[in-house]
Amino acid sequence: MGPKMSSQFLRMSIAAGAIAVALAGCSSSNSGGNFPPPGAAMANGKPTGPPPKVSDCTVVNQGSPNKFVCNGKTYTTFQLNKMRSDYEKQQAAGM
Amino acid sequence: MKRGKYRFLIAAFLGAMSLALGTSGTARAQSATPMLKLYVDPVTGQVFTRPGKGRSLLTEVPVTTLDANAIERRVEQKTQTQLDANKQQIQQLVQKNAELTQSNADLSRQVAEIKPAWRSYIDNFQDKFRIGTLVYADWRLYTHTGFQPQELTQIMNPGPQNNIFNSFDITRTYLNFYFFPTEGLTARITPNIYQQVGNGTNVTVGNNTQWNSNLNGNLGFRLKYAYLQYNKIFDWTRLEALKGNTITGGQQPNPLIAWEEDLWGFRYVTLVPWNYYSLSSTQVGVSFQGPIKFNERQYIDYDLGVYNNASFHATEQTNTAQYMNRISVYPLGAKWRFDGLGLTWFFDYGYTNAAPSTQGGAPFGPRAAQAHIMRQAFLTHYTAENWGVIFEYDWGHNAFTTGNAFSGAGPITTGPQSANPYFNFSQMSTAFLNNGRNPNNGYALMGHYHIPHTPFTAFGLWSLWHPNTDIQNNPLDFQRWVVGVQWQVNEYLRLAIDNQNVNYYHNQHDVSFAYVDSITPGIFKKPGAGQVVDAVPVDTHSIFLNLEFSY
Repeated sequence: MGPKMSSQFLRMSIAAGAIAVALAGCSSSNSGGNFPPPGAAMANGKPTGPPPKVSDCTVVNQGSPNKFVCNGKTYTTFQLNKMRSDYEKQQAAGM
Repeated sequence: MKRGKYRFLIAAFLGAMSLALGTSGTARAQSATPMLKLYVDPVTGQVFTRPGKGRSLLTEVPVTTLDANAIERRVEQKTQTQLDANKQQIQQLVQKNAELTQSNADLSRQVAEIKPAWRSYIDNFQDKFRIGTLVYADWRLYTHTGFQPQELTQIMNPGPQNNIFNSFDITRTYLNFYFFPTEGLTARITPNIYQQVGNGTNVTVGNNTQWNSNLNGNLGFRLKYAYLQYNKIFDWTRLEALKGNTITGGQQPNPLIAWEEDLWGFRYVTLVPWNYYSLSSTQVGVSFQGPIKFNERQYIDYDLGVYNNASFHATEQTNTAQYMNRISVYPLGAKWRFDGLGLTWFFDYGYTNAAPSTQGGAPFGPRAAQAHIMRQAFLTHYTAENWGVIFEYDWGHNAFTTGNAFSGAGPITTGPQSANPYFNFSQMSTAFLNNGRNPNNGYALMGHYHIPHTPFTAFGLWSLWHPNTDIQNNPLDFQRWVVGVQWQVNEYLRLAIDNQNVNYYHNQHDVSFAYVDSITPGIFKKPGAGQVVDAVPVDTHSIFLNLEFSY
């Protein structure tokens, strides 16, 4: 009923895969942002390091809101966003 | 005159002497006993201590009779009394002022607390209501179009010989409304848009008029979820392990699809296997679900229920019901949902959504029209925070018809072959998939890996599907594979670029009418030596850019 997968498509698939790998590889150089890896260090009950980044977490619920697991704890996207915003404000204020 | 003058002078002299002597005598007496003279004005009755015009001496009082200290004490006492009184009055004024200040403060507070009724309503409502949204959108380009199931809800391609077809799509727009009226009770209502497909027929009105159908591919709203969930159903058992288990009633996610979408994590890219093959994600019914935990670790996660045979976008017609269960076991104990090794079994038994009196058309008859449907899935999965892998074996019965196989694009079903080059293929597909006794099975492998220190995650899905295992060298057998990279832009936005493919993997071959007729007698009225030429459909290949916005 039609030709099987063409060599043209094979070449395109390989190229697409290479692009994907390149994107993934290149991204590591500039995607870390200002956050070091999530730290668990605590002082007086407050974290001393940056909060977990959503991109370092794994999604466990797709809805509204999505839920992610970071360092063994489950957060909603709102919680992750608030932690990041608060931390960035603290950093900007030099605290 | 002179004599008178002398007499006056003598009288004046004597008077003065007398006055001088008298005064000096009084002065002497006063110096001996000081006197206080009091004068009175007879006209007004006022008493004075000094003489004056119109005043006459009233009396003289010896000063010795007067005690200056006593007077002073009385004056001091009186002054003190007055001071005390003044002080008390001041204190009262101060106290009153304080009371007024307090009263003013109270009044100010009360005034401040007087809020509009809507604000009070919102304040009380905010903890009992939540609204959210979930949007899936994509742009896709097919380097090779063809017959295939849908990759995402209600997206189509124009079928063979329409390569480079491309389209922007919105495949999901949830408006999630959650209500929490009482502790433990949740109500969820979720409208969703979907792509409408169809031309419809014009409507005749009266004798002379017709209205044009407006079914033209609009995005229409339909109800996706509407259910009540209660999470204290097992509280009476006082078993900590069952705490938080729920009973759910209404139009709700079934036990497998939403759960597996969360397990894999890329619903906005494509559908998980049974959803791709035939099982809708949502049914109307009653179910129980929940984790069973010991020492804060989840060992079992179950979901079971009874539902309509119809999916959420159809009207129930049967006199039976559909049963589903999913049981996931985490032998090592999961600290969070999906954590670690899991083993899952899903079972579904129901019937085709047809009224009991349905006879079915030739050549199938009522047996096919009212056939039972069975689906099972056996999954082994391991999930870590940075990666996950899922192996799935699927086994079904009558769980994949031509409606499923060609939901994304399918052949025209009307003949003859001379007018429709896919008519014989359509007849063959119908014979193989719609006969009411076709067993199905398949395998799937899914996974993802988060590239450390980046917002990127690589993901993939491969599946092998046998729509009817009774067919030898079935031209409709296919593999599906998806590979892509996700960019987690921020908490609310995900993007993915991926390659999606359907590969009808058998070598091209013809299928004889006679063989097709042996599967479903009568499908070809005169089989003879006829052949379904090139029975294996063309593969489809596409590139997707997917977007998820969740808030």
